[in-house]
Amino acid sequence: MAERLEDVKPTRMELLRIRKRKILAENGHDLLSEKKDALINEFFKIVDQRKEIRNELETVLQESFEKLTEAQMIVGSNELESLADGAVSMDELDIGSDNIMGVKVPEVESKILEDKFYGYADTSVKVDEAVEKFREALKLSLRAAEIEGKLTKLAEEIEKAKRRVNALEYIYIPKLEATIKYIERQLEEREREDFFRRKKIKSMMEERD
Amino acid sequence: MLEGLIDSLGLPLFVLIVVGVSLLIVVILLMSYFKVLISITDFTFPNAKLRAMGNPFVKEEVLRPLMDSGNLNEIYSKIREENYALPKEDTEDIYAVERKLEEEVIGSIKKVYMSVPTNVKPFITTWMMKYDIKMVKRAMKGISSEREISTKNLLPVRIVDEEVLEEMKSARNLQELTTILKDTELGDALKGKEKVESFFEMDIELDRYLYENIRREVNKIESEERATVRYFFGTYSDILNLKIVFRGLREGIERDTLKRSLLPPGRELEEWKIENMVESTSMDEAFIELEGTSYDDLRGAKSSSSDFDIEKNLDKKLLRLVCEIYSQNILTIGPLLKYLVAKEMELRNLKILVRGTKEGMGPKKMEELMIMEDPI
Repeated sequence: MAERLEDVKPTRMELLRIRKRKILAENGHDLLSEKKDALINEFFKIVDQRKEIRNELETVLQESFEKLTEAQMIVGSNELESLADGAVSMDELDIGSDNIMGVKVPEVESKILEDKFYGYADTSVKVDEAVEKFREALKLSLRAAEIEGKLTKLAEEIEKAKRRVNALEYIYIPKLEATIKYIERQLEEREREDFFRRKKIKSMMEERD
Repeated sequence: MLEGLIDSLGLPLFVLIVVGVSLLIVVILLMSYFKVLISITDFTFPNAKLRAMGNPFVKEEVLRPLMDSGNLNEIYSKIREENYALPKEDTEDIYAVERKLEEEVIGSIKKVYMSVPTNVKPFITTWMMKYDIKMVKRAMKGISSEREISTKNLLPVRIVDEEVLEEMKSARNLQELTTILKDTELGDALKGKEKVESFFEMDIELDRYLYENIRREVNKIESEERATVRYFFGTYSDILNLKIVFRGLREGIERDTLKRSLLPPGRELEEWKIENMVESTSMDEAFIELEGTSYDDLRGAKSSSSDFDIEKNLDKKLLRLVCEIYSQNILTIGPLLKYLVAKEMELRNLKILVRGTKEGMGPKKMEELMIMEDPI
């Protein structure tokens, strides 16, 4: 038997109030359940996107490192390291937010500088290819980070919604039901007592007459 | 006294005058042959030295077994056999090996400089500036990325010698670095480089400075060799410009920027032709400009070629060119020009060999990247 709400006066007014609260809690429960289901739906859609982007990122990174090795082979590791020293750093990340079913999720925006940072005369097209591939990998990494961020936020929100739904379903609504039952019992008891009292008074009055 | 001599010969004066004039004409006619003979004599010792040193690592028969071996120690011992002083221990540190290889190439050009005739010495000196500028670029980029200038990837060359290099190591910023180099031959090239907005622009300016200097020195050569060196450098510039245009078009960089990246025009591809290529809206359109030049074959190959194939094709053309110059000028400047170009290719091939073997790349991949001499 579920616990009932504490400090509840077993009155008819209170019973009406708690019945209203129960209806509200049940509506809330339904809404939260729907939200949870929608969030789970969205979560799995993003999980698919993550899978796609991870595969793509893995392929691009593999190609990038192949191109890097080729560039190292042609211009030499020392030279390539030195060319990389001249690379322009990426601007700071601009992290905004998007809204999925009322949940704020991160949105990463970054301008990856496409400026050239080395001359053509003593380098090779293989260096250009490696730079291009790594820029592509960087873009995908940022997209992957954005998706991971979305997933984390959604997972947190799903967990929260799940806890709320469970709390409503297994604690709050049963408590309200138990309280309603308690008040009803109390009211019935009181009614019986009244009835008995009335009967007793009636019989006493009849005896006196 | 002269009259006595004429009398003793017993010949009329006019005969003697005719003989004298004929002798003078013969001497004048032979003068050009004397020049050639003098040139051959001047180059005898350096050519013997160059042939002894050779460029083994552009030859397929030398490279093939090394590519197939897949063993770094075997490769190192073969490189050592060819007089490259690699680190004694069989190091796994490819950076150290590559550094040593670069050091050896610079050292070998210095050795060549010591023995070549005086009239081509300034050309070699400016040619070596390529490596000096490379070191300056490395130092400037290193210092900008707040890395210490170390001897890890900087090597002493000619202008940037041991002493300058030592001073460079104490520089904390670009301003200090340019101040150190202010009184060297690179001072002019580094004017205004105390603050670098773009390393691309810096590289362009330094490369232009270098190739303008080489061109100037080539035109100053006062001997029979000038025409050959001009022919060589003209083609070298054409090839470099073609590579720049193709890479620029491929990357889609701004036309004005691409025009600024161009080096002084070469032999076949005059400025207007190269500029037309730059203005092209597509690679195909750019290739059309090559019609009628010796680079026309690139047009045929391009559809099935990757961007790297075009670059490799041009590098092979350069190697083929110096091999031709070598065989046509075998007793004079041919071996020197071949040595200079083939040494660069050799360095590249060795880097491919060492890094490729370390990374476990197969012989096919390595061969794809290497530039080798055509079999005779």
